Amino acid sequence: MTGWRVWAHSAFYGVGLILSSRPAAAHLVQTGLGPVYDGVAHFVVSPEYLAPIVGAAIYAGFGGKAPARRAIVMLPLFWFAGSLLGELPRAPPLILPTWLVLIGIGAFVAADLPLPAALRIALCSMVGIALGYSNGLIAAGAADPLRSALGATAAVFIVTSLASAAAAATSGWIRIVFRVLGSWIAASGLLALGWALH
Amino acid sequence: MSAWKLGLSRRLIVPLLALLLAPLTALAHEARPAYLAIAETAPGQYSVLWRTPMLAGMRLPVALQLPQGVRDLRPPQYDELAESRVERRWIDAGKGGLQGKRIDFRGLELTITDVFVRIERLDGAHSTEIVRPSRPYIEVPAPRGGLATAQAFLLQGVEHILFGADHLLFVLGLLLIVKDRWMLVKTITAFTLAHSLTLAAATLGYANIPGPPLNAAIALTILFLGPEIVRSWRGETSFTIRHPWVVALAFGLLHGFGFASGLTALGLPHDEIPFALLSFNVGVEIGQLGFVALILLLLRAFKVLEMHWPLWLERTPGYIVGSLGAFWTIQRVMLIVSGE
Amino acid sequence: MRPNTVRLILIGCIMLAPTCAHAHAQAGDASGFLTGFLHPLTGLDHIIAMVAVGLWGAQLGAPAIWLLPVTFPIVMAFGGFLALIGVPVPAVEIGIALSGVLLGVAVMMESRPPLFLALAVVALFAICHGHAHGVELPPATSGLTYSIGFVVATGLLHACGIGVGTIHRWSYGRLALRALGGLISAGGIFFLAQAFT
Repeated sequence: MTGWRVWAHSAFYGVGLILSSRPAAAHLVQTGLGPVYDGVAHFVVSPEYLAPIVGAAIYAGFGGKAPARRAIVMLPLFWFAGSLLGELPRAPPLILPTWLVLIGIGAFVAADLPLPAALRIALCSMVGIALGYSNGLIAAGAADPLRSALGATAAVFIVTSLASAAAAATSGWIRIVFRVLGSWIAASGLLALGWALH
Repeated sequence: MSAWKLGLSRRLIVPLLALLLAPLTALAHEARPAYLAIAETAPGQYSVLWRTPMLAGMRLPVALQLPQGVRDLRPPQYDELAESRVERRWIDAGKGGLQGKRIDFRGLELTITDVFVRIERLDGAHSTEIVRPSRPYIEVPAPRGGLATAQAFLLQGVEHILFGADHLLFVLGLLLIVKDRWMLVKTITAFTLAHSLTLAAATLGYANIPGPPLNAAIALTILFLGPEIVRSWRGETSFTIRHPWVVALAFGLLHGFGFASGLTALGLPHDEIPFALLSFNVGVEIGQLGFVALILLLLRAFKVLEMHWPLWLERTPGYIVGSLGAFWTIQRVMLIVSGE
Repeated sequence: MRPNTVRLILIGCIMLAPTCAHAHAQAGDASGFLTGFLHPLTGLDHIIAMVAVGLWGAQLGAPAIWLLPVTFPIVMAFGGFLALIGVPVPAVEIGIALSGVLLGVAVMMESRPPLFLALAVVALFAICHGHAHGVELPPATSGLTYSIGFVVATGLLHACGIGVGTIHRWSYGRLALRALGGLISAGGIFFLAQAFT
């Protein structure tokens, strides 16, 4: 085994061990599963997170299989990093306005802007860390922020994989369907801006 | 077919699913719901039964708060049973009764427990509802039809399997062993048939397995799959690898008893059981098929993208099935031994 | 064929994901989404105009068939945006009623103006529709989920129009489409009369 693999192994199982070594709490109804599922649920029912993530993943997928493959890894990773940062005590409350994220991502997807793969990945990473951070800020008050962040990250991973694979595999009119989806995201963002100024 | 083989046994993904499941070691016990039954005994007067699950001697930190202006006709009774705490009250809610009034479950928002509420009026009409932590109160409704009851149990069925990490892990283990589409269909069908059978038998009272040994046996079924998964990695074969549907059928019987304990924990009156059973079972199948579909879609996505995970990441789900199975088996056997 | 099926399933999942999510959302969010979603479906004047946009797009063929559904939501949202920040657009109701008439006539005549003209006409109507909805947005619901529901419902109406419009490739279908256009313009005239009374 090469060096980094040993490290990766140890880190992975170490994290698993830390997370699972809480038998004292095992029998309390309100612990354990709760935070992980909360993390998943909160992400899935929050369109201000879900829509941009889906959009960014589609945009990566538009660039082809290679950027989609990297987006699957980078987006959740940056989301997770962002969540951890956001959960730090006294993390400054820097939250990107939802309308900006929605309009931006939606416009990229709707226009099918032909950017190079690296920029697509960069966009995904930025979206991941920015949204992860604001999610982390919210989750910081939860009973178990770390597990909640893990749950949300898993959900982000699954959504990213499905969306970018679907977008990468399409051509012709189905690609238009995705662009229409992007335009819906941008339109929602525009209305959200209206609400913010209302 | 060969592509399918690649998809399931080699390109096995799910690193983050692994991460998702990793923290669940401690969570062998599913969250059992609490139960509130209110029956009108005379106009405006009710008997109230409030049962909360006890886990390892810990009470659920949820307090029942009846609407203001309700007075006790008799002093409340409290019973502490092995697995639940039962509070009985006899109340007078005044002229209008409880209808349209609000019952609060204080502390519920801090738990992941659902509350089943069954309300029966004097004329025999009744309704069943689920109260969730996100909305820890109920407004006593006018009685509703069977459709709402069916919906409540359907949702409970979906939740029971999606929140029951052990059942999902067993299904995941089967997916890791299954080699092709046809085998997948056979295996999932066998599992469905088997657990539906015992779910019905146990709910209708024809068969019963006490909780602790049952839970240990279910853990054992998961543990059993671990070595089989490793065998399939090594390209070896075994009866399970050749005929996973037989294993799914046999062990599915046990899991069905597990589902039944989830349903009977709701403490339903007899006249509703067949209907509730059907809805609950359908809910379980929806949840199960949703989970299988999600895993297959993920695999499909990775295949489309020609994703190559490092071997250790690919194999992590298999390791998780085996090690969590082992952990739960030990933990649950210890529970039996220590007599909790 | 098979990969296509899989793709469709994947797309279906992606598209349904937000909907499923909303089914389980907290009461406020879900009701916001539902109100937003149902809102465009309650007014027949809106429905016929949106479907007409899809029908016309299908008649015009590429690139209008995809340009329209991509740009319409954004332009419509812009109309809603104007309403939300308090910029008045005159004669919105008349514009909406007119949109039904004119789009219906366009479908009936199978008229093929230059693309930019078609887009400009549709954009103008889109702003009217958006503006009207922006004014009608109910208070106390989550603005974002309401907006998403509203946009999605409108988009699905377009999709219906385009779906129906695919009969354009058969000669009987073309005739049927034109008849449908006539029906829509008749409806539009009815709403126009209502707008003036």
